[in-house]
Amino acid sequence: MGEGLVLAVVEDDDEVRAALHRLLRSMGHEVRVFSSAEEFEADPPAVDCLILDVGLPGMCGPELGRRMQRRGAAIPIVFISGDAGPPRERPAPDEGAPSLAKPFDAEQLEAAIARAVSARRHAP
Amino acid sequence: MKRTEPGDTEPGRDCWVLDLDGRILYIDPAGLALRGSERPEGIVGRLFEDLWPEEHRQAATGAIAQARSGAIGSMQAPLASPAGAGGWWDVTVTPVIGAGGNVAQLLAVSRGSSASRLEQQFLVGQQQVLEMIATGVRLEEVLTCLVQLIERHAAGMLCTVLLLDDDGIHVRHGAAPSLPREFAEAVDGSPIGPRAGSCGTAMYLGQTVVVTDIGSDALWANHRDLAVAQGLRACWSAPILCSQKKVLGSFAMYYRAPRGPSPEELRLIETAARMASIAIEHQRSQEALRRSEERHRATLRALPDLMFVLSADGVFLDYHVRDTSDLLAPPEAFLNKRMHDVLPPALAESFRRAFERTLATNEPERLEYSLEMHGHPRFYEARVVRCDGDKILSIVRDITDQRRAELDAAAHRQELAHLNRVAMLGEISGALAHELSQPLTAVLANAQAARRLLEHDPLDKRELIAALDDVITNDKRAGAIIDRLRTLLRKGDISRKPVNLNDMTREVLDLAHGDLLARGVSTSTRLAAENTLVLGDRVQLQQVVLNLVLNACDAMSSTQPAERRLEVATAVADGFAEVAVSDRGVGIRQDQLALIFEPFVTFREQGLGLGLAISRSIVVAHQGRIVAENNVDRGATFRCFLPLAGGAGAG
Repeated sequence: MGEGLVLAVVEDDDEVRAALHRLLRSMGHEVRVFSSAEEFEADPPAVDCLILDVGLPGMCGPELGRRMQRRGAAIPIVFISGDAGPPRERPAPDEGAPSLAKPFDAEQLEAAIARAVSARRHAP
Repeated sequence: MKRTEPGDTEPGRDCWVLDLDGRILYIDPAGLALRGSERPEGIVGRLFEDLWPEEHRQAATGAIAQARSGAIGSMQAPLASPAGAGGWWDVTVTPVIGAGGNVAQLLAVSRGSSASRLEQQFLVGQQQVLEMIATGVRLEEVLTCLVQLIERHAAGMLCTVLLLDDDGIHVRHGAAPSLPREFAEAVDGSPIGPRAGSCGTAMYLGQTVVVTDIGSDALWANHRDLAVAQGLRACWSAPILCSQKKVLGSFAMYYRAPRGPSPEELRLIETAARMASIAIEHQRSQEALRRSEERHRATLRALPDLMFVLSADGVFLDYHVRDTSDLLAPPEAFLNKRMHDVLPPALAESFRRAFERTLATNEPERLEYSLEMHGHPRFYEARVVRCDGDKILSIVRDITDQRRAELDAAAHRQELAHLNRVAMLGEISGALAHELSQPLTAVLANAQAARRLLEHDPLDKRELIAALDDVITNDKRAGAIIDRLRTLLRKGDISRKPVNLNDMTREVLDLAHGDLLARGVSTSTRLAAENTLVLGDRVQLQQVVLNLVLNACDAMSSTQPAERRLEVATAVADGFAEVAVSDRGVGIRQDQLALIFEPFVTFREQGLGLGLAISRSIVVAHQGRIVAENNVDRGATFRCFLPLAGGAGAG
């Protein structure tokens, strides 16, 4: 990836959040981190892509995605999740967002971000 | 045997002269006196045979004909004297030869029967009664015959037998062929008591009662009028006692005139009472036997079981079955044949061993087996026991339905257990995946960040160190999760209560019974002293033993059926209880012995490889240990050591 993107990470696990922060920065991106969907919604930054944990306490990741979509704030999203989990926590297929199962590789993450961003760019 | 009383005419001989037709020409004075007559007018000129009771007249005619032909004729007949006492007479008729050498007249000499002759007659009569008893003639007939035998002793004597009801209170009619019917009927059903006539009192007291005059004796107060009205004046009664001295009834002699018994007559009453006792006891034991046989037959009719009687060496002697289609072969195919020639060899051998044991111990032996019947396997349970001395009774019950239900239940249980294990594993792996995914994500992200940071120029050393520190932190976090999980598995919710080691083991074998049977595994147990207690969770410990038992079965799946033997032993040593499960299976490869308790290690085609790992974690959680070893000859043995409840070794 040539240029750095502005990315947001919403992840409740401190260690995972810090690690993703470090990894994405090492890739050359500018990263903002949030520990919950509510925190993100309170002050939504303008970002190129949102890396969103599915199993968040409080509002879950997919719900945050749907609310943003309803508000017209259509930011590309990459879902990350710790397990298969109950079906309701999984992003619906029609949301089209890439989804990664933890633990994932840096390359997988980068490819997912690229896919999400380009899908948005080419969207009508 | 003397049968006359003082005052009677001495029974000498008398002498008669008869013509060839048997007409009386002369009678001597002794004969006249005996017949209560002083003058010969009423007698001379009559036919000799007419003097005798009707049923003996033919004998008299015969004796006369004999004498007429030149030989000596003889006869025996009773004759009552007017005094009431009668007796039997021996009569000989001798021809008197006239001048022409022909028989001219006849000389009849009659003598009172000798004592020995009477005794002999009595013995013959007694024999007859005993024969009637032995041949099962009805009690009433036997008693009637007995009464008549005794009555024959003296003319004018009337005898009765009364029976005591099972209630021990009421009198029942026994035999009284000569007594007025009205009197006998009145006595039937009356209660015994201290003043209940001669018989009722004799039964009440259990001793002989002599009433010489019914007309005045206080014992007869209640029955006096009826007795006197029927012409009964003396009654002597002896209780009929059984061999245990219980009163069964009474034997009595009545006379129509007041009088007491001679010692002779008292002895005779007691002899008669003893014979009546034999008759009654015999009849009662026959009745009991008949009832018992009837019950036996009813039992046989009701029982669905098959029964066989065999000799000790296994020859079929007899059988009972409700429906011959329940038999493996028609009766003619097995009766009088050796079971080794009829049954499958292995089964015949099992029976032979069971016979040996039951003959040695006299205790019933039980064995279970299956047989192909009409093309389908059926399950049977046989109980063999010694009978008729050295024969064997084998009671065989078809337990197919019960066994099928057990097998179904076992299959169901297995299915449940499997689902349970799968569900548990799913849960564990779900929890494991979720918990571990976070640190693993962090480890990977940090490691990959570090890898990238190394390529940055300038090198951000602090960030690199922070990334590596986070790798370490998160790896430790993952380790902690695994530790927690292990602790969870290990500690679970173990209740620690005293568990009876043998009961627990037996329950497991009961649970596995269907599986063992289905897999053709025979089980033997060697158990420690009863009431050996270990401390722990009964269900979890059973899970361990059940797992070992089922593993042992699996290990023997390729073993010859006859060799599929499982041994389960419990023991106590060094403060620990031990449960050992031995199989005759393939054993454990030497290089696998160390690994066999590791999770997800399985040497079988099926199975998750968790059974022994879970078993070990349960045993370890009980502060015990579990080991596996190969047997010297064949198969493997798993031993669980568990701390004894309250024992010093538990600490």
